[in-house]
Amino acid sequence: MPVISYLAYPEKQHRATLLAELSAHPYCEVIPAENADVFIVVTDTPDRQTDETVRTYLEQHHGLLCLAMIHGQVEDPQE
Amino acid sequence: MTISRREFLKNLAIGSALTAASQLIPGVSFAWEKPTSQHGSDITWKKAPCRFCGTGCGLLIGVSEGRAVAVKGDPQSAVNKGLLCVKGYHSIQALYGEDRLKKAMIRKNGQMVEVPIKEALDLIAQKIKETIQSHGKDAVSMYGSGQWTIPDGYAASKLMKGCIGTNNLEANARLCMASAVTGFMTTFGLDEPMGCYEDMDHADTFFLWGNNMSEMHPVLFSRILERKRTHPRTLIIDFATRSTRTSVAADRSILFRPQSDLAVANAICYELFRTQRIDLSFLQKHCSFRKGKTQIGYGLQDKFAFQDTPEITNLDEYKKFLEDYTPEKVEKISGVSAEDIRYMASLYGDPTRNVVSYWCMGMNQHTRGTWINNLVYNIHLLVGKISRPGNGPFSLTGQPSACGTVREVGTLTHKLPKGMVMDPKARKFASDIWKVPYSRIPAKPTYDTVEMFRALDRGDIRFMWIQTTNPMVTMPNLRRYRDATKKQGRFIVVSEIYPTPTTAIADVILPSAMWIEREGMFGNSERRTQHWEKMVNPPGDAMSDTWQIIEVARRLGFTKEFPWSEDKHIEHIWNEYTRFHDNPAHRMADYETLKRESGVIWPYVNGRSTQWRYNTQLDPATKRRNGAVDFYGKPEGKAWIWLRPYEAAPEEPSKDYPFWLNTGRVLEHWHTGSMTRRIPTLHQAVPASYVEIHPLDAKRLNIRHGDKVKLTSPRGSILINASLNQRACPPLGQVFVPFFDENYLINELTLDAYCPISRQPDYKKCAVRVERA
Ligand code: SF4
Repeated sequence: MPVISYLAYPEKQHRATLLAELSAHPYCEVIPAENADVFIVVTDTPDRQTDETVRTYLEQHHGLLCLAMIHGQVEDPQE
Repeated sequence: MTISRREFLKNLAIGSALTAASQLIPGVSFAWEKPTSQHGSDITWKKAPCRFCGTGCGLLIGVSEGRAVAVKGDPQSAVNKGLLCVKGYHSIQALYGEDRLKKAMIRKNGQMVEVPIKEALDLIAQKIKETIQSHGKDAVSMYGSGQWTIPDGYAASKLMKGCIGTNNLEANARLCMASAVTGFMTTFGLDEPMGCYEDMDHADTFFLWGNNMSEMHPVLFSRILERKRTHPRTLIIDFATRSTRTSVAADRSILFRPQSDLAVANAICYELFRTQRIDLSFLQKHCSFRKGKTQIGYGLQDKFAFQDTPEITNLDEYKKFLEDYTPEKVEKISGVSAEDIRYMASLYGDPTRNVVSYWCMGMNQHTRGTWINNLVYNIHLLVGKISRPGNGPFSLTGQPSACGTVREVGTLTHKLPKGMVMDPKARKFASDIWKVPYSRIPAKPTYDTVEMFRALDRGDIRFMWIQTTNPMVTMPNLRRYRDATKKQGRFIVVSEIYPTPTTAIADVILPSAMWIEREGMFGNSERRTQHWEKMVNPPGDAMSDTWQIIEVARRLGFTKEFPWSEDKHIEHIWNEYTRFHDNPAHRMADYETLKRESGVIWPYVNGRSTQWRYNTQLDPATKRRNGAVDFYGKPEGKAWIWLRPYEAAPEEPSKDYPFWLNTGRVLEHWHTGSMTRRIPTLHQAVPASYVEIHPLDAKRLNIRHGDKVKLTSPRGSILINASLNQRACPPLGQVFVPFFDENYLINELTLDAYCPISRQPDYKKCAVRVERA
């Protein structure tokens, strides 16, 4: 049950649509910076396979300049 | 408010991202409110130092149902103030790799077979006895680590030197900081830095000598960047052989040719005299001058012997010596412009600036490592910028307890927990505390690390016990030493937590308890000792390295010397060990204090850490009151300024091998990667090693990013993917390969040349050929 946080740097012109798209994504939570072009994206997925799929989706998103993984794979003791 | 565990973990991940963002983008703000209760219903938090580098960041580890489940930076820790790097955040996952070693194994008919740990311990004791009987005490050896806890190293020293009676004890810290030790000893008479990390809050000029701090000590680098953000006058000078992330963040990136840092350091001193920036009063009161032997060799031959003989000299001779190092002359040797040399000297000499110099492997892994350490001390001594807040030279350590265990306990062939084996008083002191016969501790050092493996190759050593290190990835000129372990009549024991190339050559493997699976202490770069308690159980039969040593010692008949119970042995060891340092110059905190605090700095006197040694106002061990400092490590209370020349490296690029090869680490991986490559996030971030090549060299050789490249040195070759313009870039004519990946054994190419004084090998310079494969 991976929980992973990223710093995501959007392309300026795609900022708004990207924010809307990620906010609507079932496995993502987005917190945009108030004074810089950067988002914190947290993915919360039920298994590793879904996690891989979500990560690939983020990595390949054309609206993203750069994606940096910050904190990941915190183990759930009941796993 | 109580939140679910899942919410809690999510908040933790968000918190980490917030911290990272604020490091990267000063002043950034997010509309996210931390929930008022941070606690999951059943998570308890315990303090521990991070085990992934010598910075010694304080962690808080969340434990639930017997398992470590979360990590956060300890805001109480003066080291990191709540920050962590990516390795620290993911550190607990290193406990739970799928192939953790859980059972002891013995090689039977060529195959490793699982056995009860008792059987393996019996066999180790039996082999030690047999080896001593047939080949003598000095055929038995132990090779430990700067990742050993302090009690591990202490138990090893007592067993090898006090009980068995051999000085065949070394640790991998010989490969990472021995030159810092000999540098400190020859200049100041005492080891370890005079300052502490708090210097970063007082300095405004940071010189990084061959130190990619943004990747190797990222939390400290964040502190420097923070200093710069709040004090815009702050300058960061990256003086290095390749352009890295540190260079990008620095105010000035100055590249020098490998080995020529010796010449540049002397040129800075020349320039300080020329511009009359010397603090003459400080110099007269607190310094004297020495010269040593020159053309001292490189330790390439077996049984290499060298002894330096310091000779008294004076200021006039020193100034004359420096005339060979005018900026113009040194520009030709180093490739650093005379203008840049003058710029560096002007910063060191500016009386309005507080200057700290940091270095790590760039200066220490150097065939003249002791010399370059001496030369940077010279600069600070000439301008009197030392031993006061914001001013001083500071050798950072790579490993979490290279200082605490190897340097302070003295797990090297020539050392005892206090003093050298050559000193009868030090041997008497040790034999009294250990309650062993004085005559049993040998007076002669035997083998440094490289020579220890050479002795194994020759057959002078027959038995080696390796704990917490992976020499079959890290030894330079690796093939020779790997072949040595496989020779007939050698017996190798390896204590480890995961299978590695070193367990692959073992005759016995002992599964070790890792880090928070046992109680322990580390000592970080700034003389800070940090304690942690056992938080979770180790898997299967895994046992702490300390307890493994005690079990074997008892089987050898040394029960009286190791009488402690399993539940209290760490406390007893600490109480016994600290008797060695019970003096104002090195007093350690008591056990209860260590348990309570997130770390304290020695000398710890009257309940206080000593942050700046030798400072007559701040260090209780100082006696002389004739100035700002008392360098009490030297009998006359004066530091020695050394006349050390530039001498070339033993192997330089040639027609057949036209490139310099440099090796090192990357941010995401710890050392040989045996732990961090098992942490999915870190492994995915940098899944494989690579060779960095300058794009113009690559173009000339028809190599594109990702192409397979063949690297060849006189000792071997490897195939590896090319990396162009990624996280760092070497200059023309140089390549860089990280050593974290056991699939690319770059040390098969490196040279086992070392500094003759420190006997630390140089992993930063040898010659290779680069071809498209
Ligand atoms: S900087 Fe070093 S000690 Fe601090 S969290 Fe990173 S690896 Fe651990």
